[in-house]
Amino acid sequence: MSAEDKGDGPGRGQISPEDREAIRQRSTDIGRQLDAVKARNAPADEIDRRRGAAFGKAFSFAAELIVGVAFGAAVGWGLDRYFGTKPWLMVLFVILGFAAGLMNVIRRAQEAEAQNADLQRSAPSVPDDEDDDK
Amino acid sequence: MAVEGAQGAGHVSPMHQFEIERIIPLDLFGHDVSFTNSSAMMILALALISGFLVYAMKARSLVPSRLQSTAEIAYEYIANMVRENLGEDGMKYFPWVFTIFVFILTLNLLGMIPGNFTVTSHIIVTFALAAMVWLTATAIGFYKHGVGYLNLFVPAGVPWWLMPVIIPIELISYFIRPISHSVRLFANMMAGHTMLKVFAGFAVSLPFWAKIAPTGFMVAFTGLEFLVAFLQALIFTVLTCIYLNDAVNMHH
Repeated sequence: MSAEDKGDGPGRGQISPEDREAIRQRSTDIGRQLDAVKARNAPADEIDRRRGAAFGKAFSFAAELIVGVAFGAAVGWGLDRYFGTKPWLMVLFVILGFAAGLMNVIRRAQEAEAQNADLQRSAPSVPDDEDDDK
Repeated sequence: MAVEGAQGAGHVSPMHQFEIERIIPLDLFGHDVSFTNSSAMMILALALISGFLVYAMKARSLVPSRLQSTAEIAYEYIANMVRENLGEDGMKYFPWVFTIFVFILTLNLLGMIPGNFTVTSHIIVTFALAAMVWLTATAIGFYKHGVGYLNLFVPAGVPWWLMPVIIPIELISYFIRPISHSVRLFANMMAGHTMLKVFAGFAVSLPFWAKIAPTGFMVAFTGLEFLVAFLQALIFTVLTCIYLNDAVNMHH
């Protein structure tokens, strides 16, 4: 397809950008509807169960962070004593431990998000949001 | 707690409930392996679980009785969780995961009976369970992937100059798994039971017109504790599945 053809519509087997946009729009709409149907068909106790599990998970993230920092501090303290480099390794390992704990939290959160994706996408958006977008 | 209450008239420490008591003192090569109240509760839990499952499934009717459907719900619930996390192949780990779930759930619920000892409120117990999960997952990982399992610590798509930072972080995040895994369960159970006892202490020591507040709180909090007992068993099991999945399928 040469450059001149661009103006007067798509060639054979080609889809114009508008059509592509429309198709994409339609497929996301269908996807959203499917998610809504799936969520509606999920029994109420299933939603309750997932909400309960999410509640517990949210609280469990705190442990991940605290344990990360505490573990880093303990390892750093031990290594400092061993090498006599007080307090630098402890500082380093507290930071590393915090990062590690954070990484675990992010991973758990991503997994949880993926598991509840269909419920989340089908949830009605907050009506007041539209004012903020503009 | 009533028996101990007699000795100090309301001066029972809220931590008293966590004390280990030797029932049959035993000594093995200088190690204290006494049969304690903790061991007794674990054996009671095992007996209850085995008894319940065997009795509930005795009829094996197509239309399940209430007991049988309770057992079936528990089975289905964990089976679905294993399938969701590990895929159909993962069902070979199902017996192990199911055992962990019912064991922790039963111990948590037994602890909710007033006067009972809560085994899962001791970090050594939860840590032993978490360490078992961690060691098993690590062993499975190395068995399945050989040295390639170490690639778990080298995430894809990270520039090389970040490696000296990322690899230690990944290592630490792997090694803190059994700790956070066990602390979560232990801290939840211990904190909840301590709170209950503290407010029970208020209910005893306050003048009669003020007793209503801590008593009301305790009623509500007991309900929450039942939820926590179930949720923490569930979360421990979900994390077991997630760690197993990391080992079996090796992806984050």
